[in-house]
Amino acid sequence: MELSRRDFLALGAATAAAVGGIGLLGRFGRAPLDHAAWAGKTVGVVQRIPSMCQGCTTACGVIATVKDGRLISIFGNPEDPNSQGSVCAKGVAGPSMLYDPYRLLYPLRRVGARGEGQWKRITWEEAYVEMAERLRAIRERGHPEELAWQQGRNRSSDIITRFLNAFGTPTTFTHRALCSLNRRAAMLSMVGDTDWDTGDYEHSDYILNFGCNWAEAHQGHIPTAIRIMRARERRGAKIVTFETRLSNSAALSDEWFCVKPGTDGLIALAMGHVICREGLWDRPWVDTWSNYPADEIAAHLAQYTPEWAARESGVPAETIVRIAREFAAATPRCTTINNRGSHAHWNGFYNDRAIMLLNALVGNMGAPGGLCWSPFSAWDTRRFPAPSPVPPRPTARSVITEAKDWPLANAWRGNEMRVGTIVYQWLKERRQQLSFLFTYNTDQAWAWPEMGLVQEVLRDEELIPFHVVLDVTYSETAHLADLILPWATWMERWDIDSRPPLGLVDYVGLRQPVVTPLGEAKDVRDIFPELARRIGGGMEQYFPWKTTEEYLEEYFKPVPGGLAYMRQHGVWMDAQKAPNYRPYERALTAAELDGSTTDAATGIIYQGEDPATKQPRPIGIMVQGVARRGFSTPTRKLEVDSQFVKGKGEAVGKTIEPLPVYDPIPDHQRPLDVDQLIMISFKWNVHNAHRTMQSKWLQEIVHTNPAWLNPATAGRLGLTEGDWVEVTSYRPRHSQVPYDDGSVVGRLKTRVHLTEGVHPQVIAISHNHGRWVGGPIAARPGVEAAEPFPGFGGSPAPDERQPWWSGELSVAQNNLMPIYPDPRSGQQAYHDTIVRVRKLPT
Amino acid sequence: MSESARPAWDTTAKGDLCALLARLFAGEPDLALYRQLCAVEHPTLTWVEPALLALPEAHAVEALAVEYCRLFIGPQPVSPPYASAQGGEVLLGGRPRTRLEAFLARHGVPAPDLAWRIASPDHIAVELAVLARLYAGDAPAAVVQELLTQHLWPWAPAWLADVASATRYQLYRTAARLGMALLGDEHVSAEGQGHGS
Repeated sequence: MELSRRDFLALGAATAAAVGGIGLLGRFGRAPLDHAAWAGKTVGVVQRIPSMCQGCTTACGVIATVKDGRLISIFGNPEDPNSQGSVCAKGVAGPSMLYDPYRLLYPLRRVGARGEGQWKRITWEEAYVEMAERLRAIRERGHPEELAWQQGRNRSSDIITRFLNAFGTPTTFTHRALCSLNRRAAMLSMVGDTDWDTGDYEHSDYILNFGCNWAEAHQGHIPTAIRIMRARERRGAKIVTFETRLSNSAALSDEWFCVKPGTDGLIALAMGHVICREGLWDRPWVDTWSNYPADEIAAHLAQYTPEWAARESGVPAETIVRIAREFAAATPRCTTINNRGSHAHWNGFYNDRAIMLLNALVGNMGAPGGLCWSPFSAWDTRRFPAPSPVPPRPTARSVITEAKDWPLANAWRGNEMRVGTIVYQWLKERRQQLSFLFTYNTDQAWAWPEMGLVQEVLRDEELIPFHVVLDVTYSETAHLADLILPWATWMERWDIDSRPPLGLVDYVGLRQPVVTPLGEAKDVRDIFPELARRIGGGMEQYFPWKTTEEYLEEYFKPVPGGLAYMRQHGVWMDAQKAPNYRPYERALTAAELDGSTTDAATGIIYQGEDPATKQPRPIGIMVQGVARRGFSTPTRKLEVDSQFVKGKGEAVGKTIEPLPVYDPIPDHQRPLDVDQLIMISFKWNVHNAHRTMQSKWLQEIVHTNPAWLNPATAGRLGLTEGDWVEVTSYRPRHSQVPYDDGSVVGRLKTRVHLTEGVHPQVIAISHNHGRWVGGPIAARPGVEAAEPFPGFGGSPAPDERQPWWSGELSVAQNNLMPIYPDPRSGQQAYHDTIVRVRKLPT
Repeated sequence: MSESARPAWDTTAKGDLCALLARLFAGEPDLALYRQLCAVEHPTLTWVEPALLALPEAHAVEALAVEYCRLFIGPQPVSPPYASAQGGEVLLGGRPRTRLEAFLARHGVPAPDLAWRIASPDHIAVELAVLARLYAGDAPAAVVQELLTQHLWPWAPAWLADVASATRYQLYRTAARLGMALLGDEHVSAEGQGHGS
């Protein structure tokens, strides 16, 4: 019997009446934050609330404008001493991530097999119960190291370290080796005070850039970019860039030289050769502060001729000579800046030491306008200590975390960097048993080298018995989880945070929620205290605070005005502190020297005992009869000659050169076939790993990643603009990497974009694309893990939810990346992979 | 169907239906609701298919929870049940949320008290709950028309059609079709009275 619509409806209504009990109680969503209790300024009906961005690691101070509990816009906080009111598109696009309709908002539990993509929504109570039961069992079995923490970006290290240490697990996997390990290791090995140099760009007259994309993708890019531009405008500073690709930073330079990947260090050594040969150095400085005499440095550099550097790098010898002379002539107001272009190589540790040596030779280290640094990569932990009680460091061991095959990865206590690259291979090899993997703010199943291997391991329930992911958006890694927890965005949570200060005076910042978290999103500051209480066994004693505000009240006590001040202003800096110029020259005070002894042979001054090492604690060095602070190195001098790194290598049977050297990349020394190129990777300024891919505003700016080819190269391969190619990548073929059989890693199909802005031996692909999950903006229809299919043309199924660029090319470069660590440090080589390029029929 | 057997279709019935649909789209069915839907027997109005009825209740309820998640929650929900998402807006809530809140304020309609886990008021369940309240409170026809015209008709019929097409389970297919029928019927009525857009 066919029903009329009215009859159909009436039957439906009858069902409703029969079901009854539809009574609905309570209010949807959460109570809005108490605006009256908020700091910030009210302008009309709009509140302006200071906080800190976390669109990337730069953590610029921002002001959020909020009306009736809704975030309207983000702009820069002029009180932030680092970013000084500037902010990039990633920060401005904050609302597009906060209010993304496809973001994770509820805890989800896997149903069916891992990776099938079937989920059900659960409550936080259910999530806590399951996690706490499993974690308690691990702890009670006496193997806390079976809990593994895999992080990407972490700006909440205080609470995360507290939880992991309280639990007792040392198994922390980070992304440092995929990011900036070599740069940091080079700095630590030579200067020791810190792992991050911050040139005094604003006061510089000459900025020599080796592979740093400071305008787009540098850690601290906004504070750096505004100061470099200010130096150009106010001082007429010259900017010279050595870079394989014409990045936006290279484009902003006065001169750009296109270099063969991995040769930056040789260019720097050749420049050093010129500086020494022509007496352009600051010899008194070198002889006073270097632990290797000037004459011996000159002898060492004699082999690194500009002609050799020209043959290897492609930069003319006369250019190398000229730039060296210009750099030296500008001293002390000259500095280098370098990053992944120089260090994300198989030989990157050596490259960056060579670059740093240039600064030592001309005596600009710590000088106004020179290569400077702050002793703090974040806030001053002596002034702002972690609130008590603080859990002790774990005593359990983790083979994968220690990664002893790479002696420099964890060589510096307090700066352990791990070797994230090899984690999943070692898990596959069963080198360490895990029971629980917690993935935080990262997408290793998409972002890691050999991502197919990572996916294979994550899918394996014997290798990873339980996998929890905490993230804002769905990811390829969350797809392989058992429990997905919705993470609060940076606009919805708290942090104490700070970054290396470009003004050379440390500061402290507050990240505070500007709106109530959407849905049921939570932060680790909510999750960890609750989990600790539920796990018990003594963990709960390290989380005595009832709320995060209570915890931060204690943390910010040293600030005049405390947390209340921070909520009003977002940042605080001690106005009494002076910029950290030439810290090594500071004469030690009588109080500091009280009870000290001096080693007559070395001049090193000791006082007391280092509580960690139980050895005499070095505090300075006698220099020309004066007790000075010196550098935080074993010799208290700038270590051009690092016996420390040499010793670390010898301890595991590896040779690590103590002097800055050039070690050519073996695969690049073999003649390349016509169809063989070196593949490099790069990042766009509006994207940050997987985190920005679902932002419509950011994807609208950059949403495609064709392969950059030099026209000359394209001509040899018979390619024209837009042609389809197949790129096949190969594992390295030399014994100093773990997987070195030269076999195929992967293939992808893509299109070429021809430009003079890339080296003729290079194919450059941005890694910011090729997602297959995440939402309709992040993922392209048809992009699969096994066979990335780059779409072209209009979307096959017109859908208003698909953006106007739907169907544009988007390929997953990470699928081609082999595991390729620098044998000294473990830093992933992102710019060294040999590929073959083949034109495809249209 | 005889006149005596034909259920009434008045504002009370409309309100009841809207409330039921709001509940079904607001959250996963629990065991109690599942049992009540299973108990409804009519040859042409089915809520639960035989294949699901054949499962143990707990499994069936979980299957529906998984389906609810797949359709409306995610990850990567097939049919996010928000006016803003369906309109291609970048920001969840956005203009539909603002307009709905203005509508409620203008007409003195209290925001629905919902115990459900909903992230933004432009959720289909909220809009249907508001409609249910208007019917139950015998609101003026103009107010009902405004809600339909400005807030539901622009997106809900297409969304309901999507759900009916995408779902793997009778429960959501029936709910979607009832929703489409309701909105369609109101549209016809409005046109008849010169109100339809």
